[in-house]
Amino acid sequence: MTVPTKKRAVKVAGRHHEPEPAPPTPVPVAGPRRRRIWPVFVAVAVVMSGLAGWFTLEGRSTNAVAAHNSALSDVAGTADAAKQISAALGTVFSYRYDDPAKSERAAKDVLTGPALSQYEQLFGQVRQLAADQRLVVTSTAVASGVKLLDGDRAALLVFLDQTGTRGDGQRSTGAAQLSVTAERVAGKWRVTGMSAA
Amino acid sequence: MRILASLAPAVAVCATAVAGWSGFTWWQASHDDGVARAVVREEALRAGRTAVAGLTTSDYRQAAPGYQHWLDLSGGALHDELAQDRPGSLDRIAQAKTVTTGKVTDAAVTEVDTGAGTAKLIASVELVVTPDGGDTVTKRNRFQADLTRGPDGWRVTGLGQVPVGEAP
Repeated sequence: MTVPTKKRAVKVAGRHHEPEPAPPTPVPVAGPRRRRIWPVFVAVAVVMSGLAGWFTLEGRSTNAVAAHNSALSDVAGTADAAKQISAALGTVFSYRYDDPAKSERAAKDVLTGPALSQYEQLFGQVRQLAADQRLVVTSTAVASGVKLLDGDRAALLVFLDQTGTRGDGQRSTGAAQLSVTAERVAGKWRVTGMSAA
Repeated sequence: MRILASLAPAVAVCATAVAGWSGFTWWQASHDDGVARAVVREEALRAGRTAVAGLTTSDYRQAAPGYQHWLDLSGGALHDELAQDRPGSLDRIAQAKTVTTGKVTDAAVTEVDTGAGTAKLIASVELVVTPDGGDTVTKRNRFQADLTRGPDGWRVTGLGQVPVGEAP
């Protein structure tokens, strides 16, 4: 019985124009498979949105420390502010009895807003004394630190040495510590406020 | 349901892209040198203010615990110096019989080195000195401090007054 069956099978396989018998494994139907896969995409979307939110918050908090205060992180900008403001303070807190207009001009040039009246308060007496005693007062910034640098606004702590030289050559030196705020207009830093620290 | 099913892949791709981008932004921020310098600046300022106030405060009535506090706040060369000079310093504090309280009125970081974990700070300090049975005197001093980050946080490794009248 087995031999004729085998023969017929060979015959059928040889006939190319006859329709092929259906393959034993059924082709998967599109419908049910799609219904099972879309929740995976939704899950991926949910997880990725969560991660995106987390990463954004972390990135923002990492950047926050430098975003509103670039003191020392912006190396060139910090150095420029410190240099300009230190020089400005050195000039306005210097006084020559034989050229009293110089410090006034300097004050108008580098001080603005409340700093002008604060300057009068801090230096008015010294200037009066200097004029009476024919003093030359020289101020030099010996150390400065930028506390805040936010665009065109800055806050600094500046240490000044003040040397007074009298007509007879006698010298006396004092120390001053100033907390200052400054503002930059057209690349030039001006002191907007100051107080003894 | 059909709309959801057809949109889900696109939404998933978009969410993945946004997550990748924001992850990269975070990575970039945490590897940014400017951000690292700002982080050191903030840490050093906070630790430095506290430490300078502590190191300029002394009370002869509690000399030993006060000295221990100085040792805890200091590191490196300053710590070694303080540890070596402990008996002599305690004697001097006992003899001076004063209570000195240091308060930092303003401070600014002047240098940071993120690689070495060091920073320099200047501070204006108000010292309230009360001698035993005497009148309180208030002084203003200016200090410069060297700070170094160690395994247990920031320590003051050098502290000195900014001298007056030595500028060229």
